[in-house]
Amino acid sequence: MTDAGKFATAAAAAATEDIAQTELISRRTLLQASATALGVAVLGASMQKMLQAAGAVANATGANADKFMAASKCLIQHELSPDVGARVAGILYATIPTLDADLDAIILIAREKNSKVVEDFFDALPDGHVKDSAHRIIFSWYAGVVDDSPTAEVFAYEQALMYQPTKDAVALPTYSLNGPNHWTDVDPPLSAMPEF
Amino acid sequence: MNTFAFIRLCVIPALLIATAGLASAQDAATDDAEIKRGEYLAIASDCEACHTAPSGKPLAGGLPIESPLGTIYSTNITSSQQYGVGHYSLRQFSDALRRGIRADGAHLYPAMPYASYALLTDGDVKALYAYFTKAVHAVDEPPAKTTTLPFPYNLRLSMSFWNALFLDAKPFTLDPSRAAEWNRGKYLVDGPTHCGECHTPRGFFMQQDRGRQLAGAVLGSWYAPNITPDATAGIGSMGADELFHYLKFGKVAGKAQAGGEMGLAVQLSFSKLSDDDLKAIVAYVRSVPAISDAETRAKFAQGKAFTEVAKFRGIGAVSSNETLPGGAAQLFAANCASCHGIGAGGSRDSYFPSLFHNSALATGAGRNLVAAILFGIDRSTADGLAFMPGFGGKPTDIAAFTNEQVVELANYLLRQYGNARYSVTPQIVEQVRGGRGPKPQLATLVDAGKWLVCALLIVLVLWRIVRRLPRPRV
Repeated sequence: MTDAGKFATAAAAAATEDIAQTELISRRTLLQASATALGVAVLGASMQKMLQAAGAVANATGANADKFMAASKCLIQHELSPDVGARVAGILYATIPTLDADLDAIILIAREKNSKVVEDFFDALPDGHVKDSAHRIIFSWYAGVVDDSPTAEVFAYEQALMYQPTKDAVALPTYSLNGPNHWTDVDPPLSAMPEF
Repeated sequence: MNTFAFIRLCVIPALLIATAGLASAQDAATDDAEIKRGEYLAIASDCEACHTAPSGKPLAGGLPIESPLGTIYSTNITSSQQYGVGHYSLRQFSDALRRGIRADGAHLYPAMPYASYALLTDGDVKALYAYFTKAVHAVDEPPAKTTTLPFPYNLRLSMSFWNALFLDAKPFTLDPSRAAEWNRGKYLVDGPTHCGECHTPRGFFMQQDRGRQLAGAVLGSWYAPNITPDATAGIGSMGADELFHYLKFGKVAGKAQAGGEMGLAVQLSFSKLSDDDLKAIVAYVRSVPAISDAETRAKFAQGKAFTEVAKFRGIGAVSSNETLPGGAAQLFAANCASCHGIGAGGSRDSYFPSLFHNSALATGAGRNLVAAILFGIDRSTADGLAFMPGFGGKPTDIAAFTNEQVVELANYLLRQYGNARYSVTPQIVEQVRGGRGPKPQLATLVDAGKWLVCALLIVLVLWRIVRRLPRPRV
């Protein structure tokens, strides 16, 4: 039984004791006692709910989004949008139970190796859930979804990194590259990859 | 008669006919040259823009002009004898053009820019007369509507007082201390191309404020910006070749583009002028006194690339009845970004301009931004068609934004990509939709005066009646 339930039962018991002693109870006393019991029960239940919600919020606070961005920057050497990062963090924290610890591991190993690029430290990541998380993070930033399931939540399209290497030469579907009918415009040389 | 006499008899008339033919051919050649010159001047004066109704016959009139004092309809100026100017004498044509008096003696309203055309030289007027009476195809129909302004503006005779005060009816005279190009530019700008009619703010009686030449003014739905050489408020940071390119093609990538009435002016008039004339106009416009305002940042350098699409990408299906989860940013991403880019940087070739570093979002309190959203852009030059659809809900528009949506979107765009100090209200959007500018003081006073006079008359009549009533006997 919940604490609130216990307390309510105690209040009801107290009321019954009164009845046993006097054998006559006024309507006012009965009303007061039941109102108190009801109020305590409701308060207790809502307090429990609030505690549960607070616990859930603690799992997706800003502090963890910062950690996620730090780990992402170690793994990917491109400009990463904090807005996209917040979305990815929210989804990955909900799907990977060990993510927090994995992020710590990634940041630690990257720092230990004084890495400038991901290749410097990626092999040093321990196999298992740390390396899997690293793969998932890189995949998410590039694909705009966290996995290729048919119900995956899309959080990035034009900002997904997979479109950036050719953004100066290939039109992203929906968006214009040139004006209408400008098919014959000269494309830039593909050897010069755009900065992103 | 003998053969020689016969030959003499034939040769002399033949010679006469030949020389007469040559003379008339020369006359025809001069006539042709004059008509061509008249046609060029008619293009420079942009007669077609006002005197042609939408999908109407050229120069046949009928275009409604939403002046602040009422709707004025343009007239038929084709060579039609009955309904156009075909029956005008040169004197009558000159009076209409330079003094605002039409053939039947009635005054024209200054919506016809006769105050600017007064600068036309006699030779140019003669060329225009030749063009209009001989070369313009006659349209023998009257325009669908004629102008009837509300009292007291329908008293055309009152224009004679306005003309006495504000019409400077002297044709252009050269300033010998200035270069020929500057003089040509001044003649064109102050005369045929009548830039000041839109770009110069107006005084109390709606006359051009000559002390603030080209300093910017509201014109119906649009704002004609400050084009003095001021570095921040004007176009001082635009180079001469950029201004030349703007007049010839209607845009300068990364700075400005012509919309609304100016888009039409570029399409029908400026893009067809000679390069020398355009250079002359540029030279003169860059020489007028610079007039600044409180703004401290150049209007071509405001805003930067920005997007917050990640906050609402992939969140829920959207129906048109719901409030968008992404708010104004989502309005932009859904309606504008496919052409203007998700970060509002425009297309790679600048066909669709960037919204930051764009004077349309940094001048005129955002009026041109609202007008562009509602009406779009439609302008053809040698560069091709520059087109943006409207979002105002007309049958040819791509969407039907409510006033609240336009306000939300415009304020978001101004905040992120333009002058964040501007703020658009639903009243401004309603004004822009209706095609009228803010009501001038003159109109408010006249309206109040009308009621006051009516009230006084009623009081006077009642007083007279009361005085005549028999006194009650005790």
